[in-house]
Amino acid sequence: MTIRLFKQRIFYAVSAASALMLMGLVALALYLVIARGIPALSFSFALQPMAEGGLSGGVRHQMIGSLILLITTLVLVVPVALSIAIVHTVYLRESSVQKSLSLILHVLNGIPSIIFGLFGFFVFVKFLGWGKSWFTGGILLSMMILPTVALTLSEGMRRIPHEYIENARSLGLSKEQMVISILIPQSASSFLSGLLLGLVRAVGETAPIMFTATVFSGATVPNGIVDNPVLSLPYHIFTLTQESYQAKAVQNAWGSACLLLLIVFGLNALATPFRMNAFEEIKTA
Amino acid sequence: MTPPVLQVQQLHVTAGDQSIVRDVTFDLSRGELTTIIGPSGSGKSTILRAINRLADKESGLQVSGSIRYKGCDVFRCCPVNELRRDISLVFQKPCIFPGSIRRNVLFGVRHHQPMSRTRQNDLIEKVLRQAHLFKEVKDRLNKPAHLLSIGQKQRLAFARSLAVNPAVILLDEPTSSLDPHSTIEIEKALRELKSTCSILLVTHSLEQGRRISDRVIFMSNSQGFGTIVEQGAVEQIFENPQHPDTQQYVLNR
Repeated sequence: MTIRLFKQRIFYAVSAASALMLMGLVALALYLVIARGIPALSFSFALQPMAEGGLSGGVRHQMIGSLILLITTLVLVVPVALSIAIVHTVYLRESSVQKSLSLILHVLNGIPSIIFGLFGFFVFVKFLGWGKSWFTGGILLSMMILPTVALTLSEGMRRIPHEYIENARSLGLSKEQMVISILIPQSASSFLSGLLLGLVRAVGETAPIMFTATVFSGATVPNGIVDNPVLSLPYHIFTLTQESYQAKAVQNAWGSACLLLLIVFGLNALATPFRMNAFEEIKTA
Repeated sequence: MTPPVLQVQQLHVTAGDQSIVRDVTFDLSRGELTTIIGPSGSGKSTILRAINRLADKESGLQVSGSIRYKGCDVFRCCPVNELRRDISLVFQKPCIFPGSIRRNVLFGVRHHQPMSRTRQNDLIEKVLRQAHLFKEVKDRLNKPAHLLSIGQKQRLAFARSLAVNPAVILLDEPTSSLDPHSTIEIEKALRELKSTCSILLVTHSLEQGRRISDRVIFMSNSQGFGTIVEQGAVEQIFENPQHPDTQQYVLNR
C-alpha cells in the first residue's frame, strides 16, 4: 500500500467516524424522546387542559399558546424580513452600508436567546410595563429569527440570474416594479424555506419567552395584549423536568417533548420542498 | 431632411482609469437601420448599453459626452425608465422569464399601461407577427416559454421589446447563436420594422451587415480602446473602405 493510499484511507475513516458519531448522537436523542414520549401521547393528551400542576391532563393550552406565539412571530417577521432583504439586495448594492447591515444581521443571528429574554424583560415587561404578554413573546421571537429569514431571503434574491434583472431594467421597469415582478416571485421558495426554518427555531425556544410571555399555569386564551401571558410547550417541558422527582411529571414532560418534536418535524417537512425548489431554480436558471 | 432621432457625440466610456470607448460620434435617423461592426473588444456592445443607460446605471461605468434622443440629453432631461421604453435593447443571449409565452410578451408593457384582455391579445398577436414568431407559437401561447428553441426564444425576447412600442431598437448580436432559419426571420422582421423604428444593430456577421444595413459604422480597437474609424453608406464601407483598419477587417487585406 502506498503512503498516498494509506493517507486517503485514514482521511476517509476519520471523516466517516465523525459523521457516524454525530448521526448516532442525533439518533440517540430522537430515540430517547420518542421511546419515552410515545407512552404519554394520545389525542386526549393533546386536547385536554393541564390538571394537577402537570401531573395529569394534557397540553391543550400549551399547544394553543405555542401556536399564538408562532403566528405572532410569523406576522411580525414577514414584512420586516422582506423589507430588510429588499433594501439589502436592491438599494444597498455593494456599498459599505450593505456590508454593515450584513454584519449586523450575522451578529444578531449569533446572540444567545437568553439575551433576547433579558432585553424583553427590561424593555417590555419593566420599562413599558406590559407585564408578561404573548405579544412581547412574539416580538422577541421574531427579533431572534429575523436574521435567519432576512439573510436566507437576501441570499435567494442574490442568486436570481442577473440577466433577469438586466432585461427587466432594459424594458423600463422601475426598481419597485422589478422587485414585485422578479425578485419576490423568484425568491419565494428561499423565503418560505428560511421562514419555516426560523419558525422551527422559534417554536422550540424557551429562554426569550420565560421571563416575558409565558407562565406554567393559570393562563388560557389571551383576551388582551398587556398582562396576558400564554402557556407554551417549551416552558411546560422546562418546568416539568424540574419536577423530576414526580414520575408522572417526567412522563408528561417526555410526552410534551415528543409533541414539540412532531411540530418541528412537520415544519421542517413543509420547508423541504421549498428548499429543494430553491436549489432546482438555481440549477435550471 | 428630418432631424436624427438619436445623436451620439464625443461619447467616452471608462471603467476606472481604463477607456473602453472614446470619441464616439454618430447620428441615427428615423427609419434607418445602422449596423456597428468591428473586432471583439472594440466597445460595440458598450455603446448600446450606454445609450440604454445600462452602462452608467447598472454596470457602474463612467459615461461622458452627449447622447441626445429627440433633441433631449438622455443624461439630464429624460427619466431613465421612460427612456428605456422608447429605446429598447435586445441582448445577445435571449433571456426568457419563467412563465408562459404570453406572460413573456406582456412582461414589460403590462407595467407601463393597463390593458383589457382583448387589447392584450391584439398586442401579443401584433408583436409576435412582427417578430415572425406568431405562426410557430399561436397554439401554445399559454405554454411555458422555456420550451421554445433558442431561435424562438430570441424572437420572443425581440417581440417583448417591441411590445413596449419603442421608437429606437438596439440589438446586440441578436443572431449570433441562431440557426439560419431564425436568423433570416429576424432579418425579415428588422427590414419590415425600419419603416416605423430606427434600428441600431451590433453584429459580427459582415454578410448580415451587408444584407440589411442602410449605414455602417466600423469600430476599431487598435489604439487599446474602441473608437469609430469609419462610417458611411453600406456600399462605401463594404466596397470602398478608406481607413486601413476597415480595409483589413472588411476586405481582409
